[in-house]
Amino acid sequence: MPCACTHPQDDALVPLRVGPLSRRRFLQVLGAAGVAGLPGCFRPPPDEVAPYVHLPEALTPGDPLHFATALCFDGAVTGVVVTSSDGRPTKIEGNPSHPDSLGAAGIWEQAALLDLYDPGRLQTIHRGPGALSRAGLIAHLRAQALRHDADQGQGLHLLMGPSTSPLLARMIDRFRARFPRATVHAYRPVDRGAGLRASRIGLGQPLRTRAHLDRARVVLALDADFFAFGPDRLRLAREWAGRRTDAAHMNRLYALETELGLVGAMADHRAAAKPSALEAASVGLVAEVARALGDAGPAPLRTLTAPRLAPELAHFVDAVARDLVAHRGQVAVLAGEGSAPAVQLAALALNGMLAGEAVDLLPSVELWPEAGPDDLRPLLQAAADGAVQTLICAAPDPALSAPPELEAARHLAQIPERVALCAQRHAFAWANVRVPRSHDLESWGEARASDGTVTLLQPLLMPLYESLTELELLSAWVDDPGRPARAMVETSWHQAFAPRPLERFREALQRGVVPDTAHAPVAARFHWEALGHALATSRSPAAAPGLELRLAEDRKLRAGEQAMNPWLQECPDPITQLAWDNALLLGPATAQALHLETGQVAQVAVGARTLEAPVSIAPLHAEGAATLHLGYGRPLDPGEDPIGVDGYILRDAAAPARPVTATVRATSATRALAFIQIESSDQARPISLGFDAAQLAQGLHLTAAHRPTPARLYPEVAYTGYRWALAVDLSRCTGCQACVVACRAENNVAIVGRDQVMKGREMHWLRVDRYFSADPLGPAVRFHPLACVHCENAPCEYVCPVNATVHSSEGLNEMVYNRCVGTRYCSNNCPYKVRRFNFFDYGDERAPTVQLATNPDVTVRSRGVMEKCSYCVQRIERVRVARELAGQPIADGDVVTACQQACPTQALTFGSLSHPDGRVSRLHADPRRYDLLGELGTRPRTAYLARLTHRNPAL
Amino acid sequence: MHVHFPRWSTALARSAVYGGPVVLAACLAALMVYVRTPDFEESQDPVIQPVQFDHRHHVADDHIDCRFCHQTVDRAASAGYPATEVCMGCHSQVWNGAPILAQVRESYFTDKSVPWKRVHRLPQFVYFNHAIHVNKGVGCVECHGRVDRMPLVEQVAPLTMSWCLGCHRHPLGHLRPKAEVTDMAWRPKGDAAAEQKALAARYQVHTRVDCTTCHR
Repeated sequence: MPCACTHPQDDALVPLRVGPLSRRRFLQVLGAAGVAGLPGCFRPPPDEVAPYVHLPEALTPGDPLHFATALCFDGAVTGVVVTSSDGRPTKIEGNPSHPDSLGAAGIWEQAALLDLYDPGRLQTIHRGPGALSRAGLIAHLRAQALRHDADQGQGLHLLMGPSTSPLLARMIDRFRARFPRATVHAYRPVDRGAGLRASRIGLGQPLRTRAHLDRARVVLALDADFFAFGPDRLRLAREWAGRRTDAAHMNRLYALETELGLVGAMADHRAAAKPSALEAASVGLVAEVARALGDAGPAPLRTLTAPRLAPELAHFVDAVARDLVAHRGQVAVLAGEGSAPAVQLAALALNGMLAGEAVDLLPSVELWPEAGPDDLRPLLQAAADGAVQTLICAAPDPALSAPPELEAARHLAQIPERVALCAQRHAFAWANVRVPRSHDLESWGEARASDGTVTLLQPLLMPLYESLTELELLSAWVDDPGRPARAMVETSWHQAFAPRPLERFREALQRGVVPDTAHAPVAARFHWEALGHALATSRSPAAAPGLELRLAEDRKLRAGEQAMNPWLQECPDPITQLAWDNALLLGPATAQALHLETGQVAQVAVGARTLEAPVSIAPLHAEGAATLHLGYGRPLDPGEDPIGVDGYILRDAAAPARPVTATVRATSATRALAFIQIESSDQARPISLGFDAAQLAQGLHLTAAHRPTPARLYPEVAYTGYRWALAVDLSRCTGCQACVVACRAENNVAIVGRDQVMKGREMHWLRVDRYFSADPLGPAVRFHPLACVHCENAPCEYVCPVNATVHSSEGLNEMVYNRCVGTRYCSNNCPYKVRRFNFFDYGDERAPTVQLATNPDVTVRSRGVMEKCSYCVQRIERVRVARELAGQPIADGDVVTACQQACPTQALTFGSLSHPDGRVSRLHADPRRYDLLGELGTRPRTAYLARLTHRNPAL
Repeated sequence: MHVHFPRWSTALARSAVYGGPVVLAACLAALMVYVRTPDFEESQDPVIQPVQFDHRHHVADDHIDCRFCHQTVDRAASAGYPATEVCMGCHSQVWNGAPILAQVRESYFTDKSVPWKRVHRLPQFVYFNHAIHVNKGVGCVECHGRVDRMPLVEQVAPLTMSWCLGCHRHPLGHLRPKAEVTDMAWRPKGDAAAEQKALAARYQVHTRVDCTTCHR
């Protein structure tokens, strides 16, 4: 269109030409443009329909199938059930039969679907600058293997990442048998072996602690965010939440941590301590408990000296110790996987003294459980010495996470033959043969849950690209010829499944778990002497002056494996509410002392290494310490700006897993951070209510004041059929955001990107707000999941000029995308601000492979259309049709919304109020129930249940 | 002052000012009505298909039930188009060398679909479910017309929302026993009104007019 430039109007004639277009031409073009709209009036030519040539068995086009498999996240395995729509996976749910899932799927599992369809995946096999076919690769690998046959593997090195697969273990054994002089290294960017090292000292053998929170009255988390990290995070959340709603049998959760975590937010009592103080406090706890137990406890620990602690922390330790001793036998103490050795030892000692049935000891299921960032050094040393001829790398790219002093990329690039299995197109730049890595959803394989239960992985679709699994890559080396992965998995279970191997193999695939493969708990003897000695001597050396900087795993991206996943990047961090960014987290007083504000860029110096990072003031963060999440610092596409800052460069090469001492200096630069939630205080308003269980026991009707019944202008509507409703139990919600990503996956919610998030245009239908409450009586940190509450008197319905949002006969507030013209009046009028508008054609920006991830049951919205939570109406309708065809009514529990299904703690319950004994009806009648903004008279169908805390009167 | 305009120009100006908008509105209205007629939409022209499949022969002559080919009509949202192997079930023996069926054979042996052209097309924001309609006693002929008399399938119903709502608001008169759903020539016997009521009761016909019935 011609420019709308203005020209000074004076008495002179306005020139006939304006820019390159004359006025006559402009009118001609205008006329043509008018006619150009005419083809829109014509009916498009008929589509082509492409039916199958041979219809696959059991496939009804349009009806999804469900397959059980597992997803592996850096040693944490979750059994999942994947929905396959017309041959492509479109949704991931938890597998109720899997011990580490119990039907739930967290953010990593939900987002893993997009990793499969990531357009940034490596698609073809590269050798140097050129491509290689699969056959060519196999031939190349076999030639290399034959060469190494001659020297028995001298100079052959294998670098493996975390794995739990028994099949891989046997493959490695065969590799070692064929190449006895080869070296197998295992690497992972973050250390998870501290617990095992502690148990070597305290139990004489490396064992993992497996907590059973359903048997614990008191739970203590020492630097452990077990709702966010760890292979059993979903199970622990479920077990913990199971004892949070019954005031008579409530458990009590204590958290001692540096950075505010999900466990800290949900804890009944939380203390913040910088890492050195945290270690001291942990040892202090052991000393106090041992003393309190007296003769009933182990003698070597009674003489442990309690370190000096700040008064508040000492008071906390004292009260916690008393409570732990009072509930001896029903205590579970958890230490974070990345915590200091002293903390791990303390947790072990406390469990040994107090746990009883609540904690089991199990062998680790990982092949290399103690592998960590330190384990790269031998390989790099060998490479520098020229002793490495061939490197096969199936680990996460070490060049991305190794400390810069090690010069990993340079040393690795010196190796003559370097074969790497890569997921991302732009990783492993140092390798000369880059092989695409098959995603778990494209792979045959095996994985073990944390209790040892084996899941057989089965692919949902043929590999999208020329990719190989780890097993196939190694098989090309070890077996002759390389064997297909399916055959390997089948034959490995042939003996175990005898006398009906095929039938039992199919059963195992269908259920998602192989029965009777769980490890039995180990009864180990505590070596109290060794433990006492270690506790007295293993505290980290006194920190140099400066901030104690924790370089910690990110709750969303962990060590950065899923950093290229837009669903995870746009999902807000549950505590900081940051999207597409990480920031240096500082406590308020620390930040003030350094004259730093949120958004200001600070220079972080650790020794000779510096990094410029934006600052975010983190309430409740320990003072004197700082946290920076790992996994950021790379762009989605090269040439773009990096997302966040890379904390890996600050790690100490000598001790990469330990916090470092940093000096932080303000710079004059600022950086806008994309916060999903900007207002963090609830201003003491009744948004997310929380009370202490003691008040409930006194018979107080806590929420009666928040269940108003304002007068109505309109006559009551008589609902005769189903009455859909949702109940959100805030006692159970841990803020993990699993529901947010599940909703996004189920409903084809678009990604908007960082810039749009900063304008407040993110498209989350369901969000979990995090409030730092100004209400002194309730919990300090509160989570509040909020989506469209489907008001019976919806303010959005009567302002729509085109009736695009109407009320259904079953109580749903319906959004009809094809009627919407985009006035946005409905969002304007919504008091909950849960309506999201498509300001741009976000769907158009989906790459072709990403479009495969869309759910065919839900319309993909275009620009100019409002959207919001629909109570998963597509699921309601599917169940309705199925029940009608069977001639049965919809029963309670038949319809499960995406958010409900994903939630680890079962905090969300959906159903019909027309079932008087249904779960939702009972929850709506619960004394803790209140309506959000009920005083406005909206009559929402989503009811909230206030959170209960279980305070210790001594604290 | 010299008169520039002739006397009749006043009348012309007045009629232009008053009549102009009316004429403009009428033109617009006429265009809007015209583009909604089937004549313009070409929706009810028979659709030329890559293989000249004649329903008259297969249905009226050979008495093949609709569900033999459209296999998922009573259990899924889409009625389903026959896989090539369904055609080849007969046509590997019957007329197995006919040139008219060359593309079907080619599809079978090259594993590429026959590129049929869709005749009944609903917009992408409409989610229609065949199974529920068929199982509630709505016959194929209600929406698709006398396919057994069509040399090439054409769309006979407008398939507009108002047309669908017509039946959803007044379903009685459009029902038949489930056993007769595929019988294109079925006529009610006896008291039609009473039979419709009885069918609606027996099949639990509770038509819905909520938006999310079809739009999600």
